[in-house]
Amino acid sequence: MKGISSLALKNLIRNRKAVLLSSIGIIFGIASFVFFMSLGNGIKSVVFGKILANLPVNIIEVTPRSSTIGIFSFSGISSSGIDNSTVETISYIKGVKDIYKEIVLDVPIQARGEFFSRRIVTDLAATGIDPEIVRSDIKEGYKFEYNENGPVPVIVSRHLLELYNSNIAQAMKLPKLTQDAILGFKFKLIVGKSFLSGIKDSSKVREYECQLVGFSDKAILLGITIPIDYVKKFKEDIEGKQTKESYKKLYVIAENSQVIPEITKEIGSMGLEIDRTRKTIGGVISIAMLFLGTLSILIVALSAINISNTFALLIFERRREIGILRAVGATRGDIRFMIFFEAAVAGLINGVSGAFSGVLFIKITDYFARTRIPDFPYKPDTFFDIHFSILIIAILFSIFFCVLGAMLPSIRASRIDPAKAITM
Amino acid sequence: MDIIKLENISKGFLFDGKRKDILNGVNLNVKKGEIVAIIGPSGSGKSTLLNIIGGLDNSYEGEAVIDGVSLKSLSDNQLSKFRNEKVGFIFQHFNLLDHLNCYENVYLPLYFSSGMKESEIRQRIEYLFERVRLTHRVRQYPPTLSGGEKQRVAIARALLMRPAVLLCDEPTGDLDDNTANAILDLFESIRNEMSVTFVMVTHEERITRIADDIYSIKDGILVKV
Repeated sequence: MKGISSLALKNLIRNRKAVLLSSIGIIFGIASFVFFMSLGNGIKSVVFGKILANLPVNIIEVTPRSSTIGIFSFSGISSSGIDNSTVETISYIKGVKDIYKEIVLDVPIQARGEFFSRRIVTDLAATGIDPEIVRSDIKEGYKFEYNENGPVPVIVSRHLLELYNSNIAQAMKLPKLTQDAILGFKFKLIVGKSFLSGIKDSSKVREYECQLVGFSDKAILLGITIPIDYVKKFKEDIEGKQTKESYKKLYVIAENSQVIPEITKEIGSMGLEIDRTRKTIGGVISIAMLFLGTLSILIVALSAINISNTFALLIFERRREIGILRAVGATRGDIRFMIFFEAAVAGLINGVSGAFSGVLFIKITDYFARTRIPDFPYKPDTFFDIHFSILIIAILFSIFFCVLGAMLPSIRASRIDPAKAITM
Repeated sequence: MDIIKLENISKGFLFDGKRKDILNGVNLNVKKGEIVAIIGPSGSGKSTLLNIIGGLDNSYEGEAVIDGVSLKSLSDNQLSKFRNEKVGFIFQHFNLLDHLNCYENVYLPLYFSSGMKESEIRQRIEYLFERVRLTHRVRQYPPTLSGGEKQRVAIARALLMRPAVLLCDEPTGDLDDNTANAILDLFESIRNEMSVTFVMVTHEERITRIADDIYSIKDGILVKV
């Protein structure tokens, strides 16, 4: 076999131009495959690594069901939210370990403070959340709990900092910030007053000192999130009585990830909505990758027809040569092996060339994307994630389709009648 | 001892519903080391006969036994092995592969064989190039050689596996008189040195000068001259 392989290599070198011409499609297809798969992986890395990274797998986020009419979305029971009896019912579902609540602070509030020597006063939105669900997001040395004597601990969304850095800082000519730089930042929270709603009862307006103690994906995007007991207190201060509690969102902690489908099903049957963000985004990316990957493989597969035609033509031209090989002792199997080996080596060269072209194209695209596309939230350092396994798979695809393309011609070659062929 | 034994070999094909014979009851016995010439016009069946002896054509009636091997009983792979080890072919148009140099062309049968040491192979090929007086052309490619040189490379290739029989189809057909005579002299000296059996088919009378036996073939019938 070693001897036949070296003979096949010599044949390939002799026919390099014809094989190369028919291989362009395969090289292009493999390059596309590497490009799209790496782009998909890159996007997945950003989405799951940065944006959705902090959604643990055993937490189910439950919200009131929203209904959609045209482009408008309504929360069907959002006015009352999720009440305590519903929370209690959910707590009885098998596999539910804990439930943490999030509540909207629906009284007027304002924030006032100094930010880089600028006095800023702004209306705010705020939610209250069970401290336990964000415990891991609180920076060391800080506490996120109700304390009558201390400042109100505040957490904000990581996405808010990202938005500030990529848009607001640039627009307002302010420096970009890191989490550590802004941690501990203090400001005043005025409860009972806002630009939008005005003051209902000036005697009830209160001022509290607040301090930023952490960043969390569970904090609301545009506003602040504080321990849930403060929200209850602020509402009581303004509305003067214990109002019926209704929750914007529940974090249902499952005992383990296996029980999640069952819990999800039961909660769904109660008319509540499950946050499927991670699943949906992951699904969309996977479908896009599947589509583009399939398209690339289709290009490679169609190019195999080219390879097949080229090998058929080469074998037609080499009938006399095949007859000579048979005359000096080549078996039909030797002839088939020789053609397959030629095709496999062509496939390997095409695969490596395609993978190299794909990586080169990725580097060029990435360079332009990094330098020419303006900053946006979560703009990654690289848009691509080149896995070594993708390169290997791409090369294997190339070899497979080249060998597949050469299959029929090799069978025909092995059936050539040597007695007739050597007299041609 | 007969190295080639053909008994009642017939081969034909259907043409317009009628059988047309290419070979018609051919009998031939050739002893080891003999040179046999088969003379006949084009289309007389001489190349077909050569292909049957060489195991290239296995669809015939009758019995062909070469070096003690009945070819009819061999599978396709066994026939390939037989061609590799027992017979060597020399053609009118040399049938060298242009993309391989002379050394590689001579080496060709070894691509489909195994068990020989590299040192032995090198020694054998060097000897053959010396024997056909082409040591200065070893790394040349066939298109740069003359007709006589090409035929000498083909002879070296045919002799590499030390076959029992050399089958020559119009071996001097493409050569001028002087070169043709030199090739025939080479055949004779190889026969004397290696005891190889030669079967040559041709329509040229000059080959008969080195032949021990001469046969004539016409319309598929072989007759000793």
